[in-house]
Amino acid sequence: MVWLAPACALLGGFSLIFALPPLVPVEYANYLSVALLAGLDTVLGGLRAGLEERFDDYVFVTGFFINMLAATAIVWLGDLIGLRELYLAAVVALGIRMFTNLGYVRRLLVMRVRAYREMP
Amino acid sequence: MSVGELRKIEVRHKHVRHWVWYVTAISFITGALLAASLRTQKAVIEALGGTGTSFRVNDLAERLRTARAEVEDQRVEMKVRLDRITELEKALAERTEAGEVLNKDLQKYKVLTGLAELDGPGVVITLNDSTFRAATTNPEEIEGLMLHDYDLQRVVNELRAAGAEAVSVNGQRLVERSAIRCVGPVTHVNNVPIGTPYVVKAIGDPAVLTSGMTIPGGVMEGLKSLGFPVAVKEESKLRVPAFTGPVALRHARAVPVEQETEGPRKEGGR
Repeated sequence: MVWLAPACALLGGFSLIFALPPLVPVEYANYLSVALLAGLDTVLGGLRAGLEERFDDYVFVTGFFINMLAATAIVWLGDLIGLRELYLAAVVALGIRMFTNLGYVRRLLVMRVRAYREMP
Repeated sequence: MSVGELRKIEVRHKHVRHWVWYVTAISFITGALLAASLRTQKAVIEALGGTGTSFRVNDLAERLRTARAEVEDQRVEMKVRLDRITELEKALAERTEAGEVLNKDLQKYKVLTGLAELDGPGVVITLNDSTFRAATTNPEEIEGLMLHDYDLQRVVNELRAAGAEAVSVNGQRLVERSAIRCVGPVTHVNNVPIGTPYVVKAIGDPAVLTSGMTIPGGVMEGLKSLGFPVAVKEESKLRVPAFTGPVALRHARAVPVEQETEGPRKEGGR
């Protein structure tokens, strides 16, 4: 039941903000989307590290903020130099990482369930 | 179970609780971000007007249709009003003999200034964008395949030179104050945007107008050689609409009669 608390928190945060009126101006929609991807990537990465028992809280928290800042900075840079497609770099990098981490999490969970079942 | 093993499990449980809370905290933020992103995207779609881009085109097309219908209605209304004015002028003039004479003069000047609908023999010229397809996406090449304001200007100029007495382009009567010019990608005549195909109607001697237009090396030949579909058709009877734009003068004033004779002599001095 490791994933229950994060899943509840995800829902809680979602419903909290969804109940409020839109806070972010329309111009920053791209920034927000990329930041969201960075957040999802960090959550999956944290789950994986935790399941692999090599979780480090400093790495985790700094990773969250630095990834998010870097991703939005790339979008900002793209807007600045007239290369609006630069945000795709962040999207592709984070997307690939998310799938990799998801694969590891799935494998670890399957192994855990199998080990639990095979326990005498 | 040995003590060491128990301790290992205990440590692991502590560890689990430890990292789960971190992930939970970040999950909360990510959930909030997800909600904010969804709200913003919704706002973006609303700002674009409608539920998506494909619907937006339909919406614009619908608006264009209604606007066109409205313009047509207004034109009919305008014509009704103009006819009514002429009728009233006539009625007013019928009361006295002097009035009748004045009205005759008035109607003559209305014809001359383009404020009256005219009919008579003439030619109808149709012009359209080139049938050639641009081989590249080079904007200069594509522009060369479209009709421009100066093409239309040359056609009208040629018609006037050939003695056309009244000319209209796509229903816009050309008068003294008319201009033909490009505004962005559209040609405006009398400040009204018109699109291809251009239909130029001219009243005059059909044979003279036709020969003026089709003279070798003339406007029509030039356009034809560039692939523009152009045609001149002689008509024994055609109608040219009245000018319906604003007629008020804001700056020009008529010069009093006693000073009038000086003007031409001064200007004409060689």
